[in-house]
Amino acid sequence: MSVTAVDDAAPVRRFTLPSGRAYEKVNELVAGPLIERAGRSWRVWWIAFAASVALTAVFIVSVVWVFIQGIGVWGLNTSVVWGFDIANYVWWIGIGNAGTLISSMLLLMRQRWRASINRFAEAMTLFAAAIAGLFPIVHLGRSLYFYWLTPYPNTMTVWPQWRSALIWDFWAILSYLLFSLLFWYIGLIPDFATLRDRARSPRQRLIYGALALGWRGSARHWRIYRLYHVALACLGVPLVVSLHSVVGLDFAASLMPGWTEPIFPPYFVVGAMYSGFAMVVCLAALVRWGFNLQPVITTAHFDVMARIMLAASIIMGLSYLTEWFNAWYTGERAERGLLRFEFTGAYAPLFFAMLFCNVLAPQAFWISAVRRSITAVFGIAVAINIGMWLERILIIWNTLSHGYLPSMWRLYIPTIWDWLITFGSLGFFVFLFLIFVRLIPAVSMHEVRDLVAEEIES
Amino acid sequence: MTKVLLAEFAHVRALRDAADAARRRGYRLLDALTPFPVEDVAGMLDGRPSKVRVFMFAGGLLVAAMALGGANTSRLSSIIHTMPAGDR
Repeated sequence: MSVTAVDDAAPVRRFTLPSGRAYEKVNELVAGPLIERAGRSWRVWWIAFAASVALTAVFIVSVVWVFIQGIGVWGLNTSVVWGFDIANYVWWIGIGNAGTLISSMLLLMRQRWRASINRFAEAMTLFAAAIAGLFPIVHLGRSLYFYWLTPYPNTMTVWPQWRSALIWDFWAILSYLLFSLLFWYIGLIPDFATLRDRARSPRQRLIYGALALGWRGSARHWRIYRLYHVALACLGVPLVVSLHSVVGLDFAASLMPGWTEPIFPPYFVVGAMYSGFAMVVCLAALVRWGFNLQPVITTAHFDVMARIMLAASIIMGLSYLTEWFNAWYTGERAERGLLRFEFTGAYAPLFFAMLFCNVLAPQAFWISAVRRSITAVFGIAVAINIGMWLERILIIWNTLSHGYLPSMWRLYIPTIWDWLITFGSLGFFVFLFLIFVRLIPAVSMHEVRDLVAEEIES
Repeated sequence: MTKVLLAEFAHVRALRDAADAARRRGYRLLDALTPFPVEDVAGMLDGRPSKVRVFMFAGGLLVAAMALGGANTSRLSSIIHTMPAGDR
């Protein structure tokens, strides 16, 4: 008689730790810090909040200064007419893309692990898209007339120019913001009910109760919720693709070397998902650490997200190669000149830094140990965010600094106001995000309970 | 007299089995309160399927019609029926 050992236990990837694998434990972990404030230390939160308030003040001052002085306070010149403001806009919109990617696309693809990260990813989307929307308005120079972008009856016979990419941006951002807000709130309703039921004070019960819209967790409620949520997700996917495609068209619809490329819309969408995912990784690491959510945000999450970033980095690399090949293949003097300028011009160090951050550094994710080290994944995600910001600024700088007329070649030298508005916007984002984590459950409790149920059953 | 039976379960599987058994014995399932959606149980409930998608579609059509109508009205009013104001 012989005994054959069969190793049929394929490693099951767990997205919750045994210590968090109970419904009540999930509620305690997520809702506890919000409901029972007294017993927990919010010191780190207050320090971060103070810093973010200071940076938000910097943001407000730098915007008001532009209103008073005009956009000449930035390093703009007659050739490089777009600068940090438009790069920041494109970058923030990119960050704003990932929340919907995680919520809608991963929902439709039945990726259950998204449960632990989708809530703060959606909040990130909302705040990032709102901040992004501010930049074109500030960039207008005469920002007080921004409402001319809307078609409304007026006595001036002013009508939006539908052929202008600025108008497309306006509609794309507006619809996306409305959608994100709705999608976010719908997902929050069951969690508001959990908070209402656990509330310690009448005020908490009143506020969370009003927001919960009478949710009882009835099977009927869930059925309607699921129908509505999935239908919204189906709407979200084309929206998210259209949003950054439109941003890509801001460039591609022009007649500048390096911009007039049909690859731009899909290339921008992938870039957006890429940088947004990197931002989600950073926030996931911070939320996990700040709220002790190790039982529900595990290394398995970081492993999966690292794989997605790796795939995106390869697509980005291929997109860069396609751009370079096309520039050479057109045989056009300006296109080839621009390519040479990218590799050898004044911005070349930034260009190589970008290639390192966006293409080379994420290749470390081929190694399983790197994917499972949260510090490593966090570090590379920060690098990707920096790399993607460099890409946004270089798309603008390279083309505008090296256009068709050699006599018009100018470099962009950023001023202090460029830097202040950039870091100020980051501070404003952190400010909004910190308020969010203090008032609203940062992790979707009902979806994690669902994930837990599945992992108990399997 | 109608009798109402209430029961509590610790796990999804137990709830699902009990709901199924009760239904097969001719009981009418009133509701199930769960911390997350349990598809099978929702399917066992009486009542017609929800019309939420019909309402979503109708709402979408309505907004599209309003947008189109509103845009055209404002276009007409600002281009064709120009209001002279400030000598313009």
